[in-house]
Parts: sequence; C-alpha cells; structure tokens
Amino acid sequence: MTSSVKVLSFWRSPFGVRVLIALKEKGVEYEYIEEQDLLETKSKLLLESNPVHKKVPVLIHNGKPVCESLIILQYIDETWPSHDNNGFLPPDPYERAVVRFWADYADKKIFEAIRLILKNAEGELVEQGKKIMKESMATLDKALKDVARDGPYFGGKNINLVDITLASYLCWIETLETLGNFKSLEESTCPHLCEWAKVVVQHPSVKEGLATIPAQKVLESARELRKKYFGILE
Amino acid sequence: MAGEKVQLLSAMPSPYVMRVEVALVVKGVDYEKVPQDLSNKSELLLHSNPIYKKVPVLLHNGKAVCESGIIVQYVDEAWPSADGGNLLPADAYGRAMARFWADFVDKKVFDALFGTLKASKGTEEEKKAAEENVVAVMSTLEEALVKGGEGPFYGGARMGLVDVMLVPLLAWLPAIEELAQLSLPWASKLPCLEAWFAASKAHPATAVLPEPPKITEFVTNVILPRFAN
Repeated sequence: MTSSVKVLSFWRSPFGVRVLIALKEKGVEYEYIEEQDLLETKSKLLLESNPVHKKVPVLIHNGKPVCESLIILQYIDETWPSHDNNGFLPPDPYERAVVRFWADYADKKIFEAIRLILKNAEGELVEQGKKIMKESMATLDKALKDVARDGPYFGGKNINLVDITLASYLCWIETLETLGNFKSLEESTCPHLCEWAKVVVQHPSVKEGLATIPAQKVLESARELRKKYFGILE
Repeated sequence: MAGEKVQLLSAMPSPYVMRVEVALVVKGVDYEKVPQDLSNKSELLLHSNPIYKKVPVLLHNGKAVCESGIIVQYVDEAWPSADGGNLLPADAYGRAMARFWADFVDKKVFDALFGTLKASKGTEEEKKAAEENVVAVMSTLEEALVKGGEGPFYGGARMGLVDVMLVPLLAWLPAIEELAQLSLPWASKLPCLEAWFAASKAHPATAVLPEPPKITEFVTNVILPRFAN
C-alpha cells in the first residue's frame, strides 16, 4: 500500500530537519514542501494543517496532519516501527522516560538560548543565553557519559530521539557561538558530546538531513533576520 | 503488584503534581505521597530531580521520573491496562492527537490562566487582554472536544491523557475565576467544556484533588502578593 507522506517545513528550522532525519532513518519516502515565508504570510496549506499553532514542521500522512516535532518523531517511530528494538525510543518504560526527558531538556534550553542570543545584540539577555548554552551542553555531556550504551550515540549503536533532536541543533549551536562570540560545545567542558558530534554528523540519515541546513547559510540567514527584525547590524 | 514502591514527591497547590496523582488513581496504582517544602528543598528532591529541582517527581522502586507530561506517559506505560483502560489510544494517529492536545494544555492553558492573576493587579487594558487570551484558549479546547467526537472526556467515555493533564483546572479554575474576576462564556461558547467539568468532578479519581478554597487561599496569600505593585 503506497502511502503519501508530505513534510511542510522551512529549511532553517531545526524542528523541521529532525523530521527529515527521522523519515530518512526509517527509509520513508516523502515530498518536501517549503513554506515560503515563515514570518510574514503563511500558506493556505499551513493554516489548514496546523490551525492551532500555525507553525512548521507539519507531517501530512495520507492527508492527516501531525504537528509538533517531538510528537511527529514519535508518530514516525510508531507508524514505521524498526526491528530489533532499534526505534527512536527503547522498549522499557523507564528508559523511554529518560529519553523523553533529555529530548525535552534539549528543546527547552537550546530554543531559549536561540531566542535570547538571536534577538539581542549584546547585554544581559545575550549573556543569559550564553550561560544557558554552556550549562546545557555540559549537562548533556554528563547525560551522555552516564547513559549505559553499547555504541557512540545516546541510543547506543543506533540513533534515538535524543540523538536526532540534538543533531538537528548543531548548525544553530555553531551560529549562536559565532553571533555571541563564545564557545559552549567544546572539548574542555564537553569531551563526550564533542566526540558524539563528530560521529553523529557522519551517520547517513543525519548527514543527508543536515545537508539541507548548512551552517554557513544558517549564519547568513540569522544575520539577515537580526538586521531586518531586530535592527541589529554586525 | 507485590514489592513495588511508588512515591510521589508533591506539593499541595501544584497543578503538575495533581496531573500525576490523578493518573496514578485512574490507573489503579498504589502510591505514597511525600509532600515537599519547596522553600526548603529536601535532599531527596534535590537528588531525584537535580536538573529542575521541582515537583512532581515519581519514584518507582527508587528510580526517578520527572516532568509531569513525561511522568503521566510513564505511568501509562509502566502499568499497562487491559480493556481500553490506557490513557493513550492504541493507534499511532490517535496517540499523536492526544499528545498534541496534552502539549497544548501544558503550554497554553495554565499560562493563560495564571496570566489573568498577574493582570488582576494591572491596568484595565491588561485585564481585558488576559481575559480574551483565556477565552481564546478555552475556545480552542472546546473545538478539540467537539471535533474529538463522543465525550464527555477527550478520551471518550473514559479519562485519557488530555483529561488528566487538564484536570487540575477543577481545583484552580474556581479560584482564578473568583480572584481575577473572570467571566467565561460557558453556556454560549463552551458547552462541551462545561460538560467536561461536570463529568470530571463526578469521576472518582478527582476526589484526590484539593478543594478550590484551598487554592484560593494559596493564591491570595502566596501568588497575588508577588504581583503587587
């Protein structure tokens, strides 16, 4: 039975790229639809498929929309189950809670840091954002170290929900560090996470997904956004 | 189940704790409530939730689960029910929908309500905006209930994930309506939600919720003074 899978997203969105990585990991073919202009006019398709939040990404499976990236990832995992417990979530309820916790943590912290650093030129809010980045990278480094695994990823030999969520932020982490002129994901404070980052970007599904959101393009786009919407000139 | 130790680190007014407690009761899990003094956090709390240092925390045979939405799903999965008693439906799309509305309740509903408390100490304009925000959010919830089909709960005839996430409103909404002088258009715009409230109040699991006057007292003595200008 052929199913129709569409992804409505915006190239720059870390929430969108994780959906692409997830679909590629499951070997699911999809049609990608780029939302032309996120901040000004939203498309009819977006307003119809996500009337509550009017945000990307949206997964449209056989005409039915699924919204919110982590919810989409779990939907993908459950709809196209992997063999041998290699899904995005492990089978044990406690381990699942731990995976959900760290994916949620990454989203809470990194998104907040993006908001603070992107929208401000300098000052207290930017410093707050930098602090959040440094602390959260160190915390995730420890989480990776503490989790029992038989491979390089949070999920062990295969990428799991945390790997996909965090990997989707890598270009943005680089952009924030350049904009704010600071380091958060570095060897001295996050040796395990740095090692993880080197390996995860070589993972086939991650590599293909991240190719759609190159770091240099993200930085240029971020600079344009800052100039246009927040009056920040570099 | 013999030999199981389930503890819930709690605090009376916390709507996040209330969600977990109702989930445990709905799933028929025996648990011990361990009330916490949040102004003087215990070693147990700091050790079991070092990242956020907040309640609720569920300790299941010593292993800690944090964040109310995550805990509720854990309870559903760790104690699977027979005969349709799970908080989440079996089909992937139904689960995605339930998680979506649970997330909406978590991100929008309580914030909108707490916003009216803050605005109650502000200008007339701020009060009006806060009330409009609540009406908008509740109207979206109403629509979800209408579209979801047979009620009275989001889970249908039985309480599900979304209901459990929303249920702290039973304790909090009367207090907020009184203290923020909120006037919600129940009959004209929110009839399904009104029916949801009645059904939730009548559900045996919600007997564990604090009575609204206790929340009114808490809001009056602890929350509102924070917003005094």
